Amino acid sequence: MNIVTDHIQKILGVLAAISGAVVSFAAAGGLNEIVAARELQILGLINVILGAATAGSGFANTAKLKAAQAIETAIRSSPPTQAGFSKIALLCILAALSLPVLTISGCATAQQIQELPFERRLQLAVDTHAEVTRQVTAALDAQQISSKVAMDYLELAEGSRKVLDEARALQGVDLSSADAQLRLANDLLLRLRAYLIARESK
Amino acid sequence: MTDPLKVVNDVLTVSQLLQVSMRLQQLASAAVAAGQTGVPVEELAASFAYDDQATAALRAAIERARAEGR
Repeated sequence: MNIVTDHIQKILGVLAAISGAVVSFAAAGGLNEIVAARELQILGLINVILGAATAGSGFANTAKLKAAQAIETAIRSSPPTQAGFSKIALLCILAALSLPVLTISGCATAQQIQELPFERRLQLAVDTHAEVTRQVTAALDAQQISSKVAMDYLELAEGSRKVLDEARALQGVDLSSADAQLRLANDLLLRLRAYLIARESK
Repeated sequence: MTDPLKVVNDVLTVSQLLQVSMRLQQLASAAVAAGQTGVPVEELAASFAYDDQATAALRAAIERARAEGR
């Protein structure tokens, strides 16, 4: 397998695992308070497409499994209330936002970001990763979250950092084919993020 | 033992989560503003080092929180 393709599959695999967990929460009614039926369909679509992107390519690393396990551990740590379920799901989404393919924003479009040099996108991903980690630390210090929740995030963060390290090692390699997959994930997750912002403004 | 999900439910609001995402938006905008200029090796290394520091700080915070039983 092409080493670049394998690398991107890791990223997509983690995303698929996270979006899959969110869809599972939704199916169990955990997102009823904040997500309407139509948005659930969008989440389902994201999961299906990300899953398809990882399928058929010999995806054989542990990143997807580890992400799924971290989320599962967070959920099973205690019997969740429905609202708690929703917040954890959003925390997982936020963790997903720290992944390198999610260097997105409402002002800076996915297209603009995709046009940046690879090193610039990598740096943005690393800065994003650090920022989310910093915010989780602040929330823990302020006793807004427990050490258990922080540990679950840390496990995800360590996995995504490993992906970033590998991306750094691949600098100088032609990423054109991998970028096509990256763009697909970016577009889908831009929609998810736009949805979250729209919900907040209501 | 404190139920982490209850803590999150009580304190960490959707609004707070989205505030974080706003900060991420700023980072993305800054990157786009930088445009096609390359990233010096030292600058990229500094970003990775900052991420290392952030992760180390989180680990330390987790240890403190555990020691305090929360």
